[in-house]
Amino acid sequence: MEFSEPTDKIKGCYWYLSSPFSAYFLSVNMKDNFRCSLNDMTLCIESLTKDEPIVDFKYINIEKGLNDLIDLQREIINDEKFSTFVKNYIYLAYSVNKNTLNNSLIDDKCLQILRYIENNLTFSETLLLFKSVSNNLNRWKEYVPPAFRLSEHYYKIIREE
Amino acid sequence: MNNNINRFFSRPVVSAVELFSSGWCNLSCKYCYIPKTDFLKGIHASIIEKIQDGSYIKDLKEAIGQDLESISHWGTEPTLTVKLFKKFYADAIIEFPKLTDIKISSNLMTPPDNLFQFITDILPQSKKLNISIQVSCDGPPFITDKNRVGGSAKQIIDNCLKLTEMLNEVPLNHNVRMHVKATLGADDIKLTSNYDKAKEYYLFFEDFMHQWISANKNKHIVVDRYCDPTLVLPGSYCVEDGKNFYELVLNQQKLKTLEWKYIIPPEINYYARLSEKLVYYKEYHTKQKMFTCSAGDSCLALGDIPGTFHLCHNTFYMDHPEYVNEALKYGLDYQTMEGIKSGKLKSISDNYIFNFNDTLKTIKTLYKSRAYNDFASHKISSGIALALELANAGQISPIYKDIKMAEMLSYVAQTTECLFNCLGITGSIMSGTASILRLFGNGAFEVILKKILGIGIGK
Repeated sequence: MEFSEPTDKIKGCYWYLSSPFSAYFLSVNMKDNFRCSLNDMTLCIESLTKDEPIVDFKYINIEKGLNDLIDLQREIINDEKFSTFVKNYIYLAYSVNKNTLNNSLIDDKCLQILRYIENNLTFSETLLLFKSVSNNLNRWKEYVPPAFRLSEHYYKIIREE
Repeated sequence: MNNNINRFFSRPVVSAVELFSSGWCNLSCKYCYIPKTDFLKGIHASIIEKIQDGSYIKDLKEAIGQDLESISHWGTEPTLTVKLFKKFYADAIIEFPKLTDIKISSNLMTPPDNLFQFITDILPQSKKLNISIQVSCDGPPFITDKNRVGGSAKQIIDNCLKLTEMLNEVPLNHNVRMHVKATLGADDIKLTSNYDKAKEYYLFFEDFMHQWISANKNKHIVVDRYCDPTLVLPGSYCVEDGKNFYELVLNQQKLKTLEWKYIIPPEINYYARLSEKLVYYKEYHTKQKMFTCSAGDSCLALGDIPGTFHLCHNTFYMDHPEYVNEALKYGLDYQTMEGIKSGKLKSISDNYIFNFNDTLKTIKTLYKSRAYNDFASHKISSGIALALELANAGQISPIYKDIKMAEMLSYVAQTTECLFNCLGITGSIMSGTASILRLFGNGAFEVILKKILGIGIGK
């Protein structure tokens, strides 16, 4: 089989993971997940290119990476370097899956993430995303900085004065 | 009337206190921020009176009460007064049921008997406490003796060993943790930017720790093995200091590859702090207090004037105008002089020191402190602007002309800087100083960042 520029895309992913820019959006655990799955995909692509059998390939790592990207959608990240990384990763995951397991769930996840990155989400996907963002914000709301309650007292005291 | 400070919050926020426990010191260290004027002797006498007449315990009971978990002894040299705290602690364990942590910082140039008596007799044995003892020792004699007095390095080691050996003889109920804290100023950073000197620094602590750990036979005592230097803050660091600091950081990375048996291998002190914080970057905007100093947040400092609270021990002397005037004659550093002349120090004493019996003043001070501890936008904006300005002026590496790199560098200032340093220099609690950016922005932060991201380090 043929892969167009997979090496560049793998390199691009690794570069982003080691660059300071990724520290904004990706936690250490997420980076570990991505590195593991990239490593697996690289080995898989090498085997496929040489028409060798694929040994001990862990799809779970690819899925972990995709799930992290889906979780990150809630953060509404608007960053060019991040988008390029996501596109590269999705390209690799989609291609590897198509040429090996051909799992429809992985396919769907890849395409959904791609639509998100390219601002082409369907109406139902947008609704689901908003629901998730809203849940996230509600959780944040439970954390009330001490300053809020203090300002109520401050206001009361100033009025009394 | 309920004067408890925590009544202003939905859940207890203040749970620790720094106590102004001593007004005098047996030394006059080069980098100490407290000029040793004669007025200090008067303050010392009044502190002794307050420890003995129960004023301190009364104020703590009213202001923090049952939520108090930790007491730290601060001031000049806390071991000078520790023997006077017997009644204080006998009352404290009754009044503050959650009290578990006692912290004390010492130059250990005083007789070790003071600390021995404090641990074994002054602190009640009826309740298990966690005692943390910090020993100030800046490194080999060529640093410590220069910063303090001749023979300090040897005497500190002797006293540490003597204290540990004395504690071996007694059954302890408390857990005791001891560690050294080395502080380097600009001159010392320059010195240790030389590889051989940096190696000498770590070899000194390797030998010191060998002796100290071997001397400890008590299972209730833990001697922490880290000895990486911290920096003098507030400091006035220039570009040259930043470059020297970068060399020191590289030396630490080279030295890390050698074999160290008794100390934790050399590392940049700020690497661990920043890497821990960077993982939680997502919380930065919503839980700002995770990233700020506990001063004014979970910790307040009780001063020597009855009922007076400070946000931290840094301002203990500032509510005495006589002391500030007298200190001027002793020749203060440029920044402090400027701070006094421009009224910034007066602004600190007017706005950040309060009597907890005065509700309006208390709430105004807490309001300002919460603005610092709960919100980040202003700090981020001013931090980025400052980093960009310094990069464009050629005072830090040009990579910080990139706004995202500038933002990351500004995190260093936002997460490591002392708020009183900002107030004294910029006049604003939210605006960081150029000094710390110059120190980290000339190579050191890049090394830290590369380490956090797991990329190779090189020039």
